[in-house]
Amino acid sequence: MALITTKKLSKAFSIGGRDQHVLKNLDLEINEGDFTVIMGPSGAGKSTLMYALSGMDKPTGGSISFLGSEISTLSNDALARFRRKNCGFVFQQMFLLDNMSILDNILAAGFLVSSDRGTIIARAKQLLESVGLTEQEWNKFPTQISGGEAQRSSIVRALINKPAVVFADEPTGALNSTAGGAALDTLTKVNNDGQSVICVTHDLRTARRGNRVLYISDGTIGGECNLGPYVSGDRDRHKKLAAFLDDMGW
Amino acid sequence: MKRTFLLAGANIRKAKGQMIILTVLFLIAATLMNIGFALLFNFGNYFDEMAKELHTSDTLVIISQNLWNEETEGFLRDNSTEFEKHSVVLLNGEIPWGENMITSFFMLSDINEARNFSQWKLVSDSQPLAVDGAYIPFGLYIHGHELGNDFVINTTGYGSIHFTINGHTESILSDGVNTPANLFIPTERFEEFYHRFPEYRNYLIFANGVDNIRGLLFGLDELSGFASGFSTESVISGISLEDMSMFRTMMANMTAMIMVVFTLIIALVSLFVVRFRIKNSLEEDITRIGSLKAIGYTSKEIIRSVILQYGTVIFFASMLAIVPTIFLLPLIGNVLASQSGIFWRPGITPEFYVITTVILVLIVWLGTKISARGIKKITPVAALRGESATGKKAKRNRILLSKTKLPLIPALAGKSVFHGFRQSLMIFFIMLAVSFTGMISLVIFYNSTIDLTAFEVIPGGERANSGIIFRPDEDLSALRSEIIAMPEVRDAQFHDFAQTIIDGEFSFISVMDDFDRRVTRNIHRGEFPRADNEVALSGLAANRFDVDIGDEVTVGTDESPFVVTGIFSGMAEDAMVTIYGMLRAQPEFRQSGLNIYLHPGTDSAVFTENLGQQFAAESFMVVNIDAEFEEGAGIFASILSLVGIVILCVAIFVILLILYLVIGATIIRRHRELGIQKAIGFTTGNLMRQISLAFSIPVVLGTIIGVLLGIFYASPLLNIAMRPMGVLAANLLVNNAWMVVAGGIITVLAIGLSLLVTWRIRKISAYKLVTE
Repeated sequence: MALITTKKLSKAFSIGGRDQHVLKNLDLEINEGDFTVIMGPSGAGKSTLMYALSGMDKPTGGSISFLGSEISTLSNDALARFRRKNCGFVFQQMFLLDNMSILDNILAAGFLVSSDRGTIIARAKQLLESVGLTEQEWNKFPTQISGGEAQRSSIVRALINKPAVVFADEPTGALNSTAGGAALDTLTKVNNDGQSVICVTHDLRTARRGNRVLYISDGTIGGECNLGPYVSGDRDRHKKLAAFLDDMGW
Repeated sequence: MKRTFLLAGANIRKAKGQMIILTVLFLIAATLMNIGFALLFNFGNYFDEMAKELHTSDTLVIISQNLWNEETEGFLRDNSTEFEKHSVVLLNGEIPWGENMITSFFMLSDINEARNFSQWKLVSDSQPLAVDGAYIPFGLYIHGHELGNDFVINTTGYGSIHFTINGHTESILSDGVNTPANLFIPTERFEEFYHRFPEYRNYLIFANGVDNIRGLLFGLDELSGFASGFSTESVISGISLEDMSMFRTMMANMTAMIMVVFTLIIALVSLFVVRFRIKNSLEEDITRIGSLKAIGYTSKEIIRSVILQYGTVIFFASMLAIVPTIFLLPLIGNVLASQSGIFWRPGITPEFYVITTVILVLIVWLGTKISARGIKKITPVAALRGESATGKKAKRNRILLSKTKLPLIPALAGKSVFHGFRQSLMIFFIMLAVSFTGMISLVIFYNSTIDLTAFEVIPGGERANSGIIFRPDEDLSALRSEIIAMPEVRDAQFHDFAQTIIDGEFSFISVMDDFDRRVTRNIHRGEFPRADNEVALSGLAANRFDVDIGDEVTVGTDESPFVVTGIFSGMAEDAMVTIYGMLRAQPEFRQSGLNIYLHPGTDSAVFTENLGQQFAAESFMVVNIDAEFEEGAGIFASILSLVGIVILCVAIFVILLILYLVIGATIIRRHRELGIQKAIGFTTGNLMRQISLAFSIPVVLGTIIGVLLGIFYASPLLNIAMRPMGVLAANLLVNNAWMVVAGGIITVLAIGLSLLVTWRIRKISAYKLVTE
């Protein structure tokens, strides 16, 4: 079933009085349950596309249908309410709130949606445990934990409201290899549990986790590659992705 | 150095809005400080210089010519180094005074009589003296007697005397403030009055080298057989230059003190704000500081640029403040002129502008130096990584969301309060200090404008509605009975002022038959005197004589002691004794004044006029005490009312400016955090409520405590300020409802402003946060 559908989606920025078209009449369909990876060269419009799909930014043209509802015409506050219910975000810089403990960062997002505090607290603790964060870490401030721990915390924050989709923007960009691997394992695990994930990345290792890779170039979809469900150590998957990216001129 | 200037300029341009607010804040502080200094040092100096310029003697004495003889002249010669004697005609009568008619004394002088001491001069516009013309004191001009107007004195018993006002004079001792107003008229007219009113001929004496004015007056009175009284036929009165100076500059000094204290509060608050602003900008600009350090700027250069940035703003604000100072000072001078009678021309006072600028720049330099020292400690790499320049300590995680029962937004607001505890504390103290100041000014305003009850008691004078002074040898008892029988009259009590000697010191004494029927209950401790050997003393007199309740003092010529029964509050007299005590102390004393208390609703002006007509033959003068109070206390009240309302408005304006500055800076500083919250689904409204609530907590707490301090301590504090004037219990009214409403208004305005400022959160974009 289609999670997100765009029709003639376009986005232009005015730079020095001149319009620069980043997304050009883009038609796209993203399915529920997919781990969709968006790749492409710098400045191709990957992040612009992802933030338009997530309601973080408004397109300048076209439409975006999210689970059948049009979101491109919503006001900023309506978009905020839409995001809190339907979207989870994992950023490269984590963007946890420094003045709150890890647990409070997660609960602040959770309490925004649900008034059933007991359930949210229990879910937050269960998710934190599932990503390998012990109770000792829960009450620490973001500046007191490692980058990997912070990123896993931000994944838990993204998941707390059981969103329709998790958007991840370069989730391993600021992490070392081990921490990056752990974060990806977490995303893969939640995807395997049925969670839709849309991820923007430059990193091949991250891209391999997706079952569908979209290559965006010059504001349009240049091509796509279906890799199927992720299986750890699958060398053919790696080759297939590498060949696809070669074709795309990456 | 050029690099430092460039950097400072860039800093100012970057934070234009904040710098403008700081400029306005310091503009207010500098203006108030300029005015305060000018009043405190220039007004008094102006008075002293004018006294010198006019060769003012150190004492003025007015004595009826029929009490003057060789003995009194010898006594005066023995008790002074030099003196000069001028003939004057001393009249009493009614003149228009604002909207009322008041009874006062006037001295007519010959314009052509030369004076070596205590000269006078014409101020502002004047005309040559016409045949019916008069030069009148400037103080009268303030109360509506303008150049070219007809000046009419309705004398008691001799009809109206008309003059044309040809000019206004300025002098020190005979300006109508505390002494009769001196009118200068042509020689021919003076001689006409001099011959027409032989009983009103008096000597106006200017003396130097008098050690004790009280002793001198008592000595003269004693020589005249204690024949002096209220009548212009038997006057012995006087004042020293020192007392006159204190009285005429008192209001200016009081206003100046209030302004300087208030300015210091604003300066202190501004220092907090500057410190906050610097800390904030260091956090915002930490990567920029890193870049500057990386390309070779030294910590000293960066700190110097911050000092220069704020120093420039303060310097600019102080320079700008010269304009409103020059504009406002003459207006304030005019307001004060109604009490001081001084035509003060403050002009330009560069010395005070420099002092103000130096004080404010020093305060800011100190604040900047302390706040910017974090820059020294941080390395370029750490700064580029965005690590704090001010150093962050690990904080406790307060209001755990997993435990709290609070709704999410208030809980997050509470977290912000604890997380930025120092900032919250700063806002709390700013609100407390400024709202407490506001409450003090409200108490001043309320008591000087809305309910003058306390003002009626503060001077200590008996607050009757009307008064009559009978001529000597009348049957006072019968006259009192006749007056008491009038339908408008509620009560009538003899009340006289006399000069006597207490414990060897000349004193002003209040004499009544029955002090228990006094309306002004200004006894502070103990009781009013009842028996003929009892006396109550003013707080100042008790201190001077070093006595307290139960101690004994000698009064007048009686050698047997009087027991001190009470200490009273007030400035009007030194002591109170009953008529029986007074007759013991000074057997020659005769009552003459009768205070009349009217039934509520009676028009005292009409009553007093009728009283004057009915008892024209028996009375020497009638006084509309209600009007005297309204006009006399009204001068003080209107000045204080103005001071009160100005300070209250400035306090509220300062609160709003500071909040605008602090909230604006906070939104900029927390713009990353707000962006994150927007990204995860917080709406602009959620965030506005969160920030406003976080500010409201210290704002409301600070205001509540400021209001409570105002309710409980504003009056006692003002009481302490008035003690040196002899007011032991000012008992200024504190209307709790007014205080609470004012606190409510401050809070509502503060919260309203915080919502208005937080409205700019809508411009913070979650998308920009992740893409920048």
